[in-house]
Amino acid sequence: MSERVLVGMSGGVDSSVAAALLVDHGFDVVGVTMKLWGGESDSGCCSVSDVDDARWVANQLDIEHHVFNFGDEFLEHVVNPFVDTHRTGGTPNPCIECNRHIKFDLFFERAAMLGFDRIATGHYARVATLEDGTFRMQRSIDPLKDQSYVLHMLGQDVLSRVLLPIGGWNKPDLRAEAERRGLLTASKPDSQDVCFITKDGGREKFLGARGGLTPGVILTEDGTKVGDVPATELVTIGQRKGLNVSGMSEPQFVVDVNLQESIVTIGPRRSLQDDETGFTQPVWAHKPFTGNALVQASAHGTALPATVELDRVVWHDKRDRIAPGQSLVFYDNDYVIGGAIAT
Amino acid sequence: MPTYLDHAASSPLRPEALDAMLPWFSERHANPTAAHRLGRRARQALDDARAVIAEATGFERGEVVFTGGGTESDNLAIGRNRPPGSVIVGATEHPAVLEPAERQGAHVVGVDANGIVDPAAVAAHVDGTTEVVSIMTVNNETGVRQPISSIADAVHAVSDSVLVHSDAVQALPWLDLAEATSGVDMLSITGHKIGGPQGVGAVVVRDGSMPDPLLVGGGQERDRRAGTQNVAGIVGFAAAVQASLDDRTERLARIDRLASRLLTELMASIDGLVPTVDRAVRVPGIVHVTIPAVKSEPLLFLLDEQELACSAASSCASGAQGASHVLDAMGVDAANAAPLRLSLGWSTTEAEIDAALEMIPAAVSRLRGVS
Repeated sequence: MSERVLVGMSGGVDSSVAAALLVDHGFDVVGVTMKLWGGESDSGCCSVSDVDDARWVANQLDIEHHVFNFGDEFLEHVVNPFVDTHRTGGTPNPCIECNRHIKFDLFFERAAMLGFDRIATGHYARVATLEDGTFRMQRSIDPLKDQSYVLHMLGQDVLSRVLLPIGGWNKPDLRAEAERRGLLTASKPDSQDVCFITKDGGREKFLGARGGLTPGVILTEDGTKVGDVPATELVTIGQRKGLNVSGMSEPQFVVDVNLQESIVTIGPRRSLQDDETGFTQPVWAHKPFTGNALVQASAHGTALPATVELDRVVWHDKRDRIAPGQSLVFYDNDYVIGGAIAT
Repeated sequence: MPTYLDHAASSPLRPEALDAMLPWFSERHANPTAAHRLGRRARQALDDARAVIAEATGFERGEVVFTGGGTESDNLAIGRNRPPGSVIVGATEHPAVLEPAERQGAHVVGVDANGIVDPAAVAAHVDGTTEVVSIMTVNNETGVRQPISSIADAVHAVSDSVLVHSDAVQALPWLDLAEATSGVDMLSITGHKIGGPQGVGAVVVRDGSMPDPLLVGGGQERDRRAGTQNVAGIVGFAAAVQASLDDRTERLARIDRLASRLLTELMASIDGLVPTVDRAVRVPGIVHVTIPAVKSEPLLFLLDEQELACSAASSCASGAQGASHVLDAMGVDAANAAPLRLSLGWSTTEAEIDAALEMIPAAVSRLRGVS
């Protein structure tokens, strides 16, 4: 009997092709759309029309399709922490928390409970088996789409049972494949940004509706007031645009955000440079690691050489400060070693 | 062989309904408003159907308005553009009543632990501004019966001019509506809960009580619902209602026995399973239970894999399982116990009950990690 695979289908083109490839491969495939967010949304992974698209594609592939309602859990593990992290001055990455708590935890657990051998998703990343028989998350072959950063938290239990069928595809070829197969979602635009934040309202409207944003002042490093910000919580370290300070001799960046006193400090690029970045809550693909690695600090950032220590990374060359709350992901070449949250 | 215990969602088509409809999909194709003999024959079929619905509901033929189903009937009865506070509904009404009512700023009357509305509590909201009161005859999730006649009497005792509407969609298979809903001014019913086709229903309205139509232009249904009638559907609807009237006594006894066996044996085999409402206050065909230490969604998934069709609380537009406003209103803690609705109907067999009694305990054990 063929292996049973539960594939997450968001209603987008990537997971549509992923499901099609699994069917081709001879797996016994069932599609699931996770309903995560019932509130306002531009599209993302949550709307009724996305569920309809996923259902349509499942029908095209002649596989069963179900909807799992993880709305309560999404609120608890992704949305509320997103709000709380902002409130305490951090810059959260809700997609990482969604992968950590929902897509590769609840969904994985549900699949096992229902008797599936494996789960699959349409993420751009690969799972590699090393010589010692352990598994590693490996970057996609498409560097522009690579999502290994947001999947860095997967441990051996998940890695041993997850299939990422499109990790070996680049986006243009994948779209062409969807077109060739006549899949409904072939020319559907990629989802952008965070699914529960609308383009019109942005983070400001979302957070503003959930407990107030605090106005603050902008100071230079010597304490001179040079402006105001409407919402201190929305200012991110490293930010340059939208500060409305003029008359400075050189470009100014946010170098510090003090939420207790509602003070945003700006300074020149050199004041933003750090030798090291502390971290907390490390997770590992296999075993805890210290030593030289490439470290990436944003979803589409460049991985830079650094030494990973117990609670910090020491950069081999100074780099721009990383906003607390962002994830640091440690790579050995293309392979994810682990990751942590910057402090 | 599928096991179908979702009659409250939609019952399979009765053979009587199918047979009655078939000619209207072929040689009898004319528009019932046409003056020629083919048209007249279609109009006659509508009149015959109207007589059946009138008999089943205790209304006059001229008071029957055919619609596109229960939701349209409910929407029509609730009406639009009523003044805020002029509509009173129960907390456990179907969304087809609740939504149009709440859009107009309705009073929502709470329910007791069985989901029953107190007639005095409804009457207490009635005053000179009240236009419509809508309380369902039988709840679609739990099968609980409302004291709708007493509610109508209590409301009319305060004000004669108030229209009392009742969504009787789930009552039609089980109750003698003429008796159970006496005193009510408007009733909504639909075909597909009794073995008629989907997408056809009726609202019956006491003469002179008709709210403004939702659809206008053409004058059909005496200007109460414009648009060419779904003749085949209406014929099938009436045939199903007639069949349902003809076999009611035998069918109710049989279903009551099957449902009682289902509930008793499930309670014996599944730890903690409890019926949501008392048998004495519900119709025989809807068995609603809660099962602690499992979730509805995976339970339904496993049952679906074995081709057992049933429901949890309610399904939202996306197909995801949502929380139930009915259970919320009753104070049932659905967070820690999975709601499960097993609904029986005219086609339910002993073999289906046997199958359900195998599958449901096995699925629950599996989800609880006991096998």
